[in-house]
Amino acid sequence: MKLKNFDWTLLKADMRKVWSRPTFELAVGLVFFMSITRVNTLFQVSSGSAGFYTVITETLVNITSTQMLPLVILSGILVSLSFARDYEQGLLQTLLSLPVSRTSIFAVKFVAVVLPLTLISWGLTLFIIAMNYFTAESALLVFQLSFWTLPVTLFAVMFYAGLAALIALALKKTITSTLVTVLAGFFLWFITSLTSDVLGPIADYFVFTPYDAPLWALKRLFGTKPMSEPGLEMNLPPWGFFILIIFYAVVFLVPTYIYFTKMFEVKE
Amino acid sequence: MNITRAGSALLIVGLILLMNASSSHVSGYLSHKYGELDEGESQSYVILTAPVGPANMCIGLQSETSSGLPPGFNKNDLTDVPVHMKFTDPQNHTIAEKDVITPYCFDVTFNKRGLYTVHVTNNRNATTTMPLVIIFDFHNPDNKEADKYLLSIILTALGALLVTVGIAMKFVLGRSR
Repeated sequence: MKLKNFDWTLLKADMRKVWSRPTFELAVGLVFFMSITRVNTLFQVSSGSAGFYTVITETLVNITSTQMLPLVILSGILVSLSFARDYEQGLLQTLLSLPVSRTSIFAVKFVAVVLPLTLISWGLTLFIIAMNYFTAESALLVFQLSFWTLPVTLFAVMFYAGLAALIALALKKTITSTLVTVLAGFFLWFITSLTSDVLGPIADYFVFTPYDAPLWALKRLFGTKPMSEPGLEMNLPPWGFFILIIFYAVVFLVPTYIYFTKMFEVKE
Repeated sequence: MNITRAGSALLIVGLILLMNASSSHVSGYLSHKYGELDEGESQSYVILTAPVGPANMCIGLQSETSSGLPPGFNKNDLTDVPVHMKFTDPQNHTIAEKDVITPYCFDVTFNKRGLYTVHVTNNRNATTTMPLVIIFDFHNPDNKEADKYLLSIILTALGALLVTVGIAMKFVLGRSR
């Protein structure tokens, strides 16, 4: 019981440290600014029974797509601050000498970044969608559809945070690991933004990359029609994309966890 | 989280929203046309909109932009067609219902968020297209999303208030110690 209480205390302390001023304010501002720019003034004319469903789902996919880049940058910076800065300042050494398991320390550090970042992203998405499309007829639809961005964002953030944790523990330097993580995120984003005109048929496979797969999970779930000729994304059902993003969420997390609990050593 | 930090987050969100809501608005000439109407046939246009203010709406206004062809080129782009029109607001209240001759233009004000509907019934013994044209003033600040603008002002004011209260409380508590 004492240990459990201590873990919560550790989590609260770590969250307070990671999200200290002005990190939280900057994260809210950056994610909200990027998201709101993708929402046009609502004015659509259609024939027959229309379109709350279509317009809400399209906006949700747009917002989630826009949020990916700030989430990559933020998770990279915050995880590096959480792991590498603690290592540099000797705090990790103190933590490891306490009667707390390494699993707890790793979980606390990971959750302290991933959970608030996911909630900020999802909360702002819900706020934007509700602000734009909340009416008496669409209230339930707004909440039902917005809910699906929560797991998708969580798994995407877990992937980048896992990558960032691995880099931070390997490099052990705050600035270096932050730069490497952000550059790795940018590289991933840049590669997936290339089209088949540039790269040829191999670009069709980018729908399965960690950057595009969460968006396609949402699009396939909502039944959004592809802008161009349907490609490989139609070969995988929505649950297939969800399995893929769950796989991505743990692909760096598990080796990083094993490395931290079994092999990671703090040098004097 | 203390009151100052909550206030500053609200202030940031409010200011970004204020910038967005005050800069973006609908503007210009929007034309929509779906299929053709035989005699006695009806068509509904659904307008999903924010409260974007005043506009001019035209039923059956045949123009170059509505068909992509010059006026009179398409044999089914008829004018002077007697139609029955009904315009309803998001609460399904009838704003206008009358028999008119196309092209028929009237002023509307979109002051609620939701679905406005235009029903048109062709009363002429001919097949015709029935475009719906909505004209907004060019870059009129009145055509911004009124409710979003109001919300942004409320959030900004609330954020500023919380920051001020937080700083004041910190100052008072600091002095009392």
